[in-house]
Amino acid sequence: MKKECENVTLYFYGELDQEEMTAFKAHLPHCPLCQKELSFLENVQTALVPPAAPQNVVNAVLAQTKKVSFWQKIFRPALGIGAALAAGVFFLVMGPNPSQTAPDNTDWLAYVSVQSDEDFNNFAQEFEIFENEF
Amino acid sequence: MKMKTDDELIAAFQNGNPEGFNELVYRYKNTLYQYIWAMVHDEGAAGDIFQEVFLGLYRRISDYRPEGKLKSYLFTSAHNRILNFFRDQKQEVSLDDTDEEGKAYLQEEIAGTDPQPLEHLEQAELAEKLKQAALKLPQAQREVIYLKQYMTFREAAETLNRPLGSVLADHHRGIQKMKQFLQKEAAL
Repeated sequence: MKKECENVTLYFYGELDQEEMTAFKAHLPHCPLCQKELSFLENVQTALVPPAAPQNVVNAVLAQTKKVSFWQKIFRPALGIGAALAAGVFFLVMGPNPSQTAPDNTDWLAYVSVQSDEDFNNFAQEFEIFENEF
Repeated sequence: MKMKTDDELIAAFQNGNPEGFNELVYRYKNTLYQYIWAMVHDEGAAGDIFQEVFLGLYRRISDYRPEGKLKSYLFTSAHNRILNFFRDQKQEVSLDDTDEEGKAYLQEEIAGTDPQPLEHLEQAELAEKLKQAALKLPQAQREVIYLKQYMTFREAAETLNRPLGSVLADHHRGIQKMKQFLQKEAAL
C-alpha cells in the first residue's frame, strides 16, 4: 500500500487539499485497490439513504413552534377579559331581581348588539390611541 | 435570489418573522431525520427526537449566537438525544473504540480485504446487504458513516466532540467491516 492509498476516503469526499488531490489523481489510474475502494464507497453512499422526514412529524414541530402574532398577543387576553366582564355585568343586572323573567331571543339580540357596539367603540378608541402613540 | 443563511433566518425569526424558523425546519428536516432514523431505527423514537431537537432550538433561540454553526448545533443536539435514547434502552454504547488520534486508521491496510466477491451482486441486492452490514456495526462507526453523508469529517468531529483522527479511523474501520460482512455473506 502506498502513502496515497491512505487518502482514498478523503479524495472520495473531496476533502483533500490541492497538493494531495493532485498526487492522488496521479496515483489512482495505477492503483486497482483505490479504484475498488472508491467504487465501494460510492455503493455505500448510494445504499445508505434512510427515509425522509414524514410530513406529520414536520407538521408537529411547526404547530408547536407557531409564533403568536402581535395582534393575537394583544387581543386574546383582551377578548377573554371582555367576555368575563360582560358575563359579570349580565348576572349583576339580571341576577338579584326575582321578578325579572328569563330573557327571550329578542332580549339576547338586543344585549349582544349593544355589547358589540361598545366593544367596537372601545376597540376603535384604543386603536386610535395606539396609532397616535406609534 | 440568494438563499438566506441559517443565521439570517434565525435573525428574521427573532425579529418577528415566523417563516424564518419554518424555513430552517424545512432546510434540515430530511438530513436530520435521516441521521436520527439511521441511528435509532425506530420511526416513533426518530420522530420524537426530531421534534425535541427543533423544540430545544425554539426554546433557546434567543440565546443563539450567529456564528454559522446551526447545523453543528442541530446534529450535536440530535446526537446527545440519541445517546439518551440508547441509555434509556439500556443498550451498550461504545463511543470510541479507536486508537487515539486515529493511529489505527493510518496503520490498517486497505489491501487487507479481497474486493472480488462484491462484483456479482445486483445493485438492489448490494444496497440491501450494505444496509444490513451498517446495522451490524458498532454504534460509533455507524454514526460516523451516516453523519458523513451530511457534513465534512471536520464538522463530524466537531459535532461528536471527538478528535478528527478518531472520526476518520471509525469511518475507515466501519467501511472495512461492511466489506468483510459482504464477503462473508457472498461466501455462504
